[in-house]
Amino acid sequence: LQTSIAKDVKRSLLEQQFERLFTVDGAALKRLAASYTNTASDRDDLFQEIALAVWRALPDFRGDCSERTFLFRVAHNRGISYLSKRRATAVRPETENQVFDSRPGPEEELAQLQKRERLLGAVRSLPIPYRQVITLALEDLEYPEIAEILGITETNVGARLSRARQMLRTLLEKKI
Amino acid sequence: MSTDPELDLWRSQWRAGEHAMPDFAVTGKSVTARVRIKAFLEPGVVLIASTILATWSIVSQQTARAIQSTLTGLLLLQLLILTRKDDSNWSGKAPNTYKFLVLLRRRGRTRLLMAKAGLVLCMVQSLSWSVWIYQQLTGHWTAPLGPLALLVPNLAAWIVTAACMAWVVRYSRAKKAELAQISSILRDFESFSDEYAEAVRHSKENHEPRLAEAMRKLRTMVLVPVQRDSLDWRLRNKRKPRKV
Repeated sequence: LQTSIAKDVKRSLLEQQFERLFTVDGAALKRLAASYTNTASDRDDLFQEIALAVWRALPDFRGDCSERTFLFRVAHNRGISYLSKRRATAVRPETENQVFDSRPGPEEELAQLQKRERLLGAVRSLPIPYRQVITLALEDLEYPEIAEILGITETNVGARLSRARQMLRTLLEKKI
Repeated sequence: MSTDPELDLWRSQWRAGEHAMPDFAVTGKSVTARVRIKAFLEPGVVLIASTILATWSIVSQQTARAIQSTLTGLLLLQLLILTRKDDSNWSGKAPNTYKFLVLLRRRGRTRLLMAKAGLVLCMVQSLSWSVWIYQQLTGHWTAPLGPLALLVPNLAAWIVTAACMAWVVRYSRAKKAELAQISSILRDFESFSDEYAEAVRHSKENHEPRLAEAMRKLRTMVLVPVQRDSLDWRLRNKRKPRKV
């Protein structure tokens, strides 16, 4: 009985920890999922996969790094697995109208969303090493945090980020 | 917060559509339920298949023999499916994405190999049984059962083997596509490493001679006069009087 109670308490604590993590960084994880996928349904699938992976990995987390680092690393690894399992059939990216029609709003908001879609499209076309760094930088993470999440040196983060920005700039100019 | 205007602009754009995304109720409980369903579904396929086979074996003792014959191969295949982990997204073995990809590739290859080994085992068992029946039919009949009682389960064994073959073909196709995708992502990382190594090398080539030159100048300008002023240097380099 004691074992069962202890198990229940442990599970409840894990659930609380999980909910806290997703309340704080859920939106960031959705954006991260969006950078690995082309369609909204794929993004939602990946987001759920990330949630599952975090839930499974949470008992093994011993606090060697910050919770945020843990969360983003799991999310990136899940994103990579998702990409590798993706079917060879090319999925056409959603057109902007599909996204905007579902939520009509003022023009300013629409313009902002268009800019976001353009940026997201450019981020998606970056190679993975650059995409990972830029998505984390866009989430306001510092160099040491990015380095810890991706398991690379800060110098390497700087080099990748600089190259990623250069590529992103070019892509955005092309899109305009 | 950085003071980089370009990055800040991108950040504001990046978060612009946040509220437009559908809101998911991701809670610990909902995920626990999903994990349970998923955990049931993966071995569930094997369990359902095993149940059907077991029922069939009760109906016919002959089929039970067929199952026994292909049991080792099937066990290997079951082991492959049941031990399938969630690609360990949080593992000390993969400290970065590159190593994680290498790990995924290695695991993928191992699984592919295991699936093929399982299939080969199924085939060898069914074949050896067929050969034994053929020997019995052509030579002196020593088996306690009639030819039909042996041939029917053998046929069932071949059907099971064929089903395994179909599964392995499908599995290996999917796995190969996955491995190709992993290799393609790995190439991205490798090309980046080359690029980075090249940049470092280029920087060293350009900067090292300049640095060496600067150090040489510094030595001549600062160190040598200081040394010349020192008593020790003067004593050491003091000219000896010529012997007359």
